[in-house]
Amino acid sequence: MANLPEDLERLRLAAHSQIAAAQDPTALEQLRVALLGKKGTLTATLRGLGSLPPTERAQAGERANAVKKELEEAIAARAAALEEARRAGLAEQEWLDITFIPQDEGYGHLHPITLIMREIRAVFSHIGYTVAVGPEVEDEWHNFEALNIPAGHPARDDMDSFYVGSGALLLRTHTSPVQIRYMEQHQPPIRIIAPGRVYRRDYDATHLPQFHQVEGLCVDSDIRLSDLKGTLEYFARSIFGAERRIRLTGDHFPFTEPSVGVAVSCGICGGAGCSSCKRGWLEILGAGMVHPQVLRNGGIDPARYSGFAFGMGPDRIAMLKYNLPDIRSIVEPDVRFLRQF
Amino acid sequence: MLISAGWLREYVDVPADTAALAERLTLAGMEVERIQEPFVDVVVAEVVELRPHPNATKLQLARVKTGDASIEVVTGATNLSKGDRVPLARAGARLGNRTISAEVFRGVRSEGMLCSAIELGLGEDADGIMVLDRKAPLGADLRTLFPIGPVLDMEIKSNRPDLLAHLGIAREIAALYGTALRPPASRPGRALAAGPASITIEDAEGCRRFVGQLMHGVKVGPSPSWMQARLRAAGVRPISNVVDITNYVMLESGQPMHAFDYDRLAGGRLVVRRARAGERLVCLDGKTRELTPDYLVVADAERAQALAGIIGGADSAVQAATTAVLLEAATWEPRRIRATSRALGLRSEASARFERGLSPALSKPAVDRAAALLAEIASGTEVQAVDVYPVPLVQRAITVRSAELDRILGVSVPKRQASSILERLEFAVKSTTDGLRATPPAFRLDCSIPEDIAEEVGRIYGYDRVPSTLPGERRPVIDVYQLADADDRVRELLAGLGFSETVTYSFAEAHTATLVRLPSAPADALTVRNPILERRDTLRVSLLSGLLANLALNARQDQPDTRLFELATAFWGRAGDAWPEEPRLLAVAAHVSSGQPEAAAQALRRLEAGLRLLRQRIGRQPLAVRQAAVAGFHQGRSGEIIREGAVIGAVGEVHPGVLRTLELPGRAVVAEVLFDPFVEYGLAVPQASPLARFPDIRRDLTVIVPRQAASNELLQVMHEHGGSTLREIAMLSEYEGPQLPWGTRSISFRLVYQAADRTLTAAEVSERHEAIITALRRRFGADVRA
Ligand SMILES: [Zn+2]
Repeated sequence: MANLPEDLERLRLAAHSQIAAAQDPTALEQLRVALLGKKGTLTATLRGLGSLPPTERAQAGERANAVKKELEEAIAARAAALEEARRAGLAEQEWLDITFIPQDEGYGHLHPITLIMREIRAVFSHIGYTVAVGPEVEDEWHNFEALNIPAGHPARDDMDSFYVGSGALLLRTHTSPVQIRYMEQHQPPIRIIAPGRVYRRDYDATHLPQFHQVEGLCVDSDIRLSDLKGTLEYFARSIFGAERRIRLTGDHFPFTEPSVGVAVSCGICGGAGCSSCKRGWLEILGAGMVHPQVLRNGGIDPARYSGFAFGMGPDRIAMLKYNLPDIRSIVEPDVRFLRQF
Repeated sequence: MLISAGWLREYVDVPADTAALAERLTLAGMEVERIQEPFVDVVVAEVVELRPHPNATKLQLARVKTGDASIEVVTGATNLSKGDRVPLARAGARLGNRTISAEVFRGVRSEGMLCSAIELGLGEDADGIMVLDRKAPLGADLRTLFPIGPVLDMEIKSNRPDLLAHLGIAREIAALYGTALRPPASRPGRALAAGPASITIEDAEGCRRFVGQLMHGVKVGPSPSWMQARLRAAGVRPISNVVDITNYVMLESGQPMHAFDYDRLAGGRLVVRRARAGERLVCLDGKTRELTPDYLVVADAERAQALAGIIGGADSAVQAATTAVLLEAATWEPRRIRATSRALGLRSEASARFERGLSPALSKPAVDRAAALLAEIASGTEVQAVDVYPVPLVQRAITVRSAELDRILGVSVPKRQASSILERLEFAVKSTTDGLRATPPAFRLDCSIPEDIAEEVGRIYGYDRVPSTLPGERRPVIDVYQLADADDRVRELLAGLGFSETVTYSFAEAHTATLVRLPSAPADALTVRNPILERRDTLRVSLLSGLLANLALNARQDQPDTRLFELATAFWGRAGDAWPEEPRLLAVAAHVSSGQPEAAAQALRRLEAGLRLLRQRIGRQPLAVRQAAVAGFHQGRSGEIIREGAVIGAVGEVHPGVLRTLELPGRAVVAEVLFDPFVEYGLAVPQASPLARFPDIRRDLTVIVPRQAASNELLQVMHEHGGSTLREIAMLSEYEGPQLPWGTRSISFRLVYQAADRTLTAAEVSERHEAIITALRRRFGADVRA
């Protein structure tokens, strides 16, 4: 017949020293199962209580439960201590060089023209402009004649065109034909921008035979030159910075009257004049009040409506804004160039 | 156009601040591109002593004085004598953009330099020092002797040929500054109708007016130095007094002129006519040109003596011995001049003016002015004046209401001020009750509508005084915001997938243009009749050859394995169609430099997964891909992208032959889709559906099939037999290798079963799954391992 209280006491002391010796949560858990699990030693001891006389049984049971609770607490305390020790050592054991950032070759890049076109579109959409498109292969009516550029007009010299196929079709030399096409389909109020590729037979250090333009057209009752100025000032300052100024100079285009050239103050010299600008100004676009004959050609009555139009070169705007080295970088396929955007 | 401010001063007070003047002119539409001072701080000095350079035989030392003080300079010139008055540029003086400094030549210090005529822009003589008049005051600034600077390099708009002239610019300055214009004194030529010369216009459509003046007793010689200096300042080389006068009058008034040696004109008469076929003309530049009836000539009784409005003939040119001169100032039809000038590739100061459309009113005053100068400078006497002018110019008055003027400009210019501006520009202005009536001056043909008047008033009044406003008033809603643009999202996604965007030429080389293209693209590319880029004489039908060429270029630049995309227009012209179709294409290309088939397969799989992601992110279902041997592609590794039964794209590896032609080493995988159907014309609006309330059951399936069985056919069978509870099939992996029988491949799928209304039992899933396995075995002879 075993002496139960003695066994219990022996077990309690042994357990305490085992708990204190457990060095990791796994060992501690194994110990817990060995002591307190269904087949654990303490559980077996408790089971032996049934063989005791009833007078002793209650006292021994009480004692056994006290030991069980004590050991559970000891295990929990040891677990907490082990966890604390583990956390204290984490910085040492799991130290990671956070400054090692592997080269990510996975990400591609958008073309600067896409970026500038997106920006131009956003700026104009804020003041109610929608995007219109037209074909890149055009006829002479839309590209020239409807814009007051009849055959033999000197402006055709400046816009030497590519002819396509065997007929009289050509690659559009500007986005202005979209003005005519849009007016043919819509009555005022009109507020559109027309971005796209255009083509001219020019190829030298500062010209590519293919480049981009964004055309703008606003036709409504009572449109004034001051509206053109305000619109383009809003545009230029949005794109280049609120501190910039714009300047309108006299100019000549067959499809606008009056015509103006629009320049923005140079961001490098602040307007004082430098090698990047012309005496403090950068010419960025041509504009004017839509010529009444052009309105008529688009099916709009110039007695009721007036409008302004503008055309700009996003290539040049991108060059200015992103400091592109030269116009040729627009068709530069080298990924090292593209990776900068 | 080079405009000499010194010359302008003859006609108008020129503000001293040239930069401010340039600004003002630019604002008013006459852009000043550069301001050049030919010489600054160059003074008149006298040579007081000449001695050899101690260390150099080709140099000498000149002691020169400008007053009491004298300095020594080193010179290489040999034309100097003691007592000569010469231009001296001391240290600090400027010649053009060059600043003179004291320098040591072979051990002797030179305190400045003596200038040759070419260095001063006053002549061609580069060898000797320019020797000045002995009366030139010592120490005087050379600018007082030759008052030509500063010189403004101006860009004149094409509608204003009247501004290609000093008098025209002077008039604008007078208008801008509100000062008086002093036009040169001129007297009308003595119209001796009877005389030996006769002028006939046979081609009235080509010549609107022809004014002639016969001068006798002309003594040909050099023109005076002031005239030469002015011509040179304007970029024209002096030749002889007669020729110089014609050029001078052109640079003054804008009207080009010509002078014939009258005695060399057969029959003593001039005829304006079309050139005869095969007729030849030896021109003033020494070249013989073959003429055609498209060209207009000024001929004598026998043959062409000048190419009208472009260049004179050598035979009748004024020479040293000439005494009888027939001056010509004509008005030519601009388009004819332009066409001839372009056909011959010959542009002259004259043709540049005529092709912009000169007013016929300019010609008579020009001839009168030239005759007066000939009389003054070359002792000529007027013998006979001829003016053939069948339809005189009538300038129509333009009525413009003040309200209209204000409306166009957006600023209210007081009527009195508007009138004053127009009058200073020499418009005849009458006031009306609600505005004004303005008649343009005879020398301007560019004004006909109220908007033209608004422009004149606006640019002189100053566009800087126009306020900035935004248009806007109460207006009906016509447009609504539409989330239609899928472009940006697709671009961002492709960048995120590792593809960089490029912009390539629409022009393609004929032999590569159609190598690789969509099955629906035409087999022939549209030609460009007048290409400019070497060999790129067609319009592309596909973006792929351009992208592949870019991959090749990057590979050569040591950037292998580049991945690119482009979203742009292609040109699909078909025989019989008047107008080509312009589909927007999205092309994607990735280079596989290793050339390993497995690497290319992997890249292709990634590309296809990318396309699927694009569709998903614009809110669309994945598109079906059909295994197909697409032209230009690797015949075992290509397929068509199908939407609603139509082929809208192609995807695959590029055919090795195409790669060789485009000089791209390794392999490449590409895809091209018709963008609009691919994105289905915009972004879809995502539609949420309720989340599944009951758990799904997943079963994996590995199928061993013949190598060339396409997965989408397996999928189709699985869907056919999976019933309504088979919700999704994912392709997990594929394997081909030694552990499988030869000629077979294994593909693993994960099938997800789920019902919307209940928890599926394992038994009913197994039943479906078994049905699928049975079907796969039957259809493909597949060995299925569930
Ligand atoms: Zn600057």
